[in-house]
Amino acid sequence: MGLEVRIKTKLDGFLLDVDWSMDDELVVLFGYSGSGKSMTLKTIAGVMRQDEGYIKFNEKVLFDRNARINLAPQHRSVGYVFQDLALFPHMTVEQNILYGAKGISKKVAGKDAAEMVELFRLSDHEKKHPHEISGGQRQRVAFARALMSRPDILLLDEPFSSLDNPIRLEMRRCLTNVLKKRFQIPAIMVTHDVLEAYMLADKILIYANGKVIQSGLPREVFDNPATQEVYELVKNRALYPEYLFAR
Amino acid sequence: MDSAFFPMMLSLKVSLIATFFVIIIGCTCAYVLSQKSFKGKEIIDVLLTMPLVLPPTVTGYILVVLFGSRGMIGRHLYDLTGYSIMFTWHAAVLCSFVVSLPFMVKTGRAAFESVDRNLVLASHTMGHSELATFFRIIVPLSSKGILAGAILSFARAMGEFGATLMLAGNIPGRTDTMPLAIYAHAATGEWDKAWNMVLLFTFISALFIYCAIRLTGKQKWAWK
Repeated sequence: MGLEVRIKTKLDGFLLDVDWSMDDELVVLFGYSGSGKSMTLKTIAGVMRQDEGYIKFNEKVLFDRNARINLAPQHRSVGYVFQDLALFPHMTVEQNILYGAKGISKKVAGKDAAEMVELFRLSDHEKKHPHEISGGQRQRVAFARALMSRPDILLLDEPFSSLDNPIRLEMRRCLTNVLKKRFQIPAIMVTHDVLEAYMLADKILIYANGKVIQSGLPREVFDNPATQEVYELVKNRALYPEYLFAR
Repeated sequence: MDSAFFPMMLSLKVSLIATFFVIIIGCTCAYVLSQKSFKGKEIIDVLLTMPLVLPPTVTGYILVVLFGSRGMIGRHLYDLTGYSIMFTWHAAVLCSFVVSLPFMVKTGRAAFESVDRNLVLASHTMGHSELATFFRIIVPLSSKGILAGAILSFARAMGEFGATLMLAGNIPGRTDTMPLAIYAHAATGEWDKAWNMVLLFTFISALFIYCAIRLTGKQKWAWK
């Protein structure tokens, strides 16, 4: 059970053909740009068309070509943190977070939003607009908003790519804390950062040319790259001190 | 200036009503053209743009063929209700609507297309319908463009002459909007009256264009 993903779809000559599953864990999709990682997230969220295959979460079918089921993004219960965060610039921090509370009564939403503000340490910034807060704070608003509706799955598309290194470290901690301690839901994260992939992933999927070429625990994949392509991708690990990779 | 009062009030009434419909229908067309892909989209775009490039007399002629009391649509309307739009101020509204619609569609479409696509997708993934996303995300973020389009449309509606002359006629005290009244005064040699109205009209139009330019400035909340 958990999330089962079988996608076969063609877009402008690029073929995405992947088949994998996951439990309530953090899976990192790792690979070069244009290998189909973000496309996988968009397809799971339903904001990109899918030709064949199926996507199931436990008993819930999000897409099944054979059964002609294709749930609209509105009904997939997916929290999506976009690479550029996609915060609504005309809304305050509080309004952005509350916007994520679709289908929840106003009273409960207010309580949940207050809890999110507390959890993501945004207490002094509720009335500010996104352009008035720092990059790390915007990041936390995006997480809070994506988790407001209690989604079944959390999708993170290179969420830390625009942040400076110290804030990146803080945000990684923030994300793992929130996911492990507060929301036990499957999370899928796309990243280019080898250290990030290694440190955060429960399971890692290596993408190349629209396919998964290796998967497994980070240590397994990093220590035993199955192909030269995987080796090329993970070799940058040598640039970092070994203690960073101790888990 | 008394002779200018009725035409000015009629022009304002006609333009305001036409602009009201232009905003509703123009924004709907602009949204569909900016967000949807479908067969025949280019043809609809061409049809909606045509009044911008056609001589107003051609637009007026087509409107007479369609809405005249023996016209393709007007005939049925006349047979059913006994009503004909010809030579009424309603005809002036219809003409102003048709010629100013392209301004709203073009400006609105550009404004809607400038809204970051990820914001729209983000709203959808949070469970919000297309309609809710339109009113809560797309419209607020393109409000300047919509307002500028509405002002341009209003200014164009105020200046409508050729099509109105053909469909509404130039009946003093009934269908003589400002441009028609100016034409009538000039044609009968009443240059002082014509001159006063020209000055007034030029001032009003310049004011609206100035507002449109001011309103198309940069949004205050950009951080990227």
